[in-house]
Amino acid sequence: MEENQQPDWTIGTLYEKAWQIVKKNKVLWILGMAVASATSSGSGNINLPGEMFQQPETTQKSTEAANVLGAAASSPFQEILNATSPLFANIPPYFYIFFGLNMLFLLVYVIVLFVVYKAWADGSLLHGIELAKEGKSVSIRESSERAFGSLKSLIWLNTIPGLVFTIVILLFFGIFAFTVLKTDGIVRLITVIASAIFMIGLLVSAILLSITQIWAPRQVVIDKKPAKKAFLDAFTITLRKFWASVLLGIVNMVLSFFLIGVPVLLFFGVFIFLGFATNGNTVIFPLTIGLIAIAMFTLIIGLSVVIAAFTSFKGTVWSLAYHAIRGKYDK
Amino acid sequence: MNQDNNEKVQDKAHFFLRVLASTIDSVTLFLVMVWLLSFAAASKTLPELVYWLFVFVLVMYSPIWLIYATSFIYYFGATPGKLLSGIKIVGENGKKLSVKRILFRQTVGYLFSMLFLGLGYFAVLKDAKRQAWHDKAIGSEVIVVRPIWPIGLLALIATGTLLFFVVSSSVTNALSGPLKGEIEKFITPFVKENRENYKEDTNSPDSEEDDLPNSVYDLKQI
Repeated sequence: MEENQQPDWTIGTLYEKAWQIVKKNKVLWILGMAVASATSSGSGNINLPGEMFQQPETTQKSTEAANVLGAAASSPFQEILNATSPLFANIPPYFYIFFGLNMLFLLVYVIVLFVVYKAWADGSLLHGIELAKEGKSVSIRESSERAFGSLKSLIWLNTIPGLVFTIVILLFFGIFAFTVLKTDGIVRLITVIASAIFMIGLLVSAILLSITQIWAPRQVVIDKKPAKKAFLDAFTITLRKFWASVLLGIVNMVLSFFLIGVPVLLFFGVFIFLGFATNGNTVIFPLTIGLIAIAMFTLIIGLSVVIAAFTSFKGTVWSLAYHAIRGKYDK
Repeated sequence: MNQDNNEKVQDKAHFFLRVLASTIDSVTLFLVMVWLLSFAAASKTLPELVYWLFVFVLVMYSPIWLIYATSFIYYFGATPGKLLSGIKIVGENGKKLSVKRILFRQTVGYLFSMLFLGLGYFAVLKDAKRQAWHDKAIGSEVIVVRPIWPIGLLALIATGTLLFFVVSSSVTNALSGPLKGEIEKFITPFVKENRENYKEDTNSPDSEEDDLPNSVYDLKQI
């Protein structure tokens, strides 16, 4: 991973310029909130495989416990199932097909909605930042209209690389689990060692992918490149500016912790202490609960504004960093 | 110039007119939901109740609502609530919106306006063009076509009254019909079993202090 002798940017300069832009253009905060909400909504994990395996285990455990205690056999779940089955006697079979199709539609709808929302929010913010950087007036209308032009490429960037990476991880864990279960002795040991090395490789790949996913949308929005080319060029930039990018990312994370994490921790710390301290007092404890509720509401509102401003600020920092290296490292 | 601007702003639908239109649409949707649930409330048996609940879920969670809203806006420029309020959605320069833009407005646009506790909706109050954030996102405007908002208000009162009557009759049916007995018959074995398990666990025979309910409807007596 090559690095240029002279730094292309200094973090202090980036932060100063970014703050001037964000302070002057409050519309960027609204777009920043859209990005933040899209990112937080999409980051929820669905632990479906885990849940599917959990239930039989719970049933088995409850049956074993019942046998140990000498109690009579069936689990509550089984009883409920037996009691409720006759209730579905009137449901025609095609209802289940429609129900399945409905649920499938809902699932696809939610996924598509959030993919499009995230791509649009990212595009709008980046275009808004470009307008602000050029000294033009930033508006939701203009930023959004420009984002429509980049929407397809941003959707590709938000889905395909992540999907491929997820498939690789799943394949790896599948092969690993299969090999460990079906082998023993020296072969299993070699498998475990190889897997550990592969996992380190996966971790590095994840970091590279994260940084690439920062540069790539800017290639799409600023340089108007198609998605695949933008991704590949962004990957080249990532390799060549790896340590500088990682350092900038770490500084952003630390700032994020102090701006968002610390107030939240302080809040919970103080109010948990107050809650315990006044517990049992019939007059002060309800007042404390009321106070905590009001404070929580205020905190949520305040944090929303901070998150909105900080997301737009971070976006601006990365965009300014991109402008500093534009055209230098993507060949 | 100011007079021109004032006239142009007056063409744009005021916040409260838009609220009236949205409320009519929402109440109409609730009416459909409650109408479906009224069949469930009038059920005589539990399997019939489950059947109607299934129908309810199938209808309410189907894509029909998105298609309904998008089709109305595409062909008539407005949902029924907006039509009754005399307003319609148009593109900039009064042009008709494309299906893609309408879909975007009704989905992503509304999500965007919900940020900051729905601030995007209230933006209409202060905006020069009376645009909400979802309007700004796709370049739409909501304009007054004809000043018939009293008809919208009457429609809202009528639908609201109908909704009230459907809800009350459904509740009456549910409480006084055979369904109540059926639910009681279904739940009572579970309550009795829990009661017996409780007695076994505590080794307490029947006693005067034993006040566990025999059925779920005895709970209201406690």
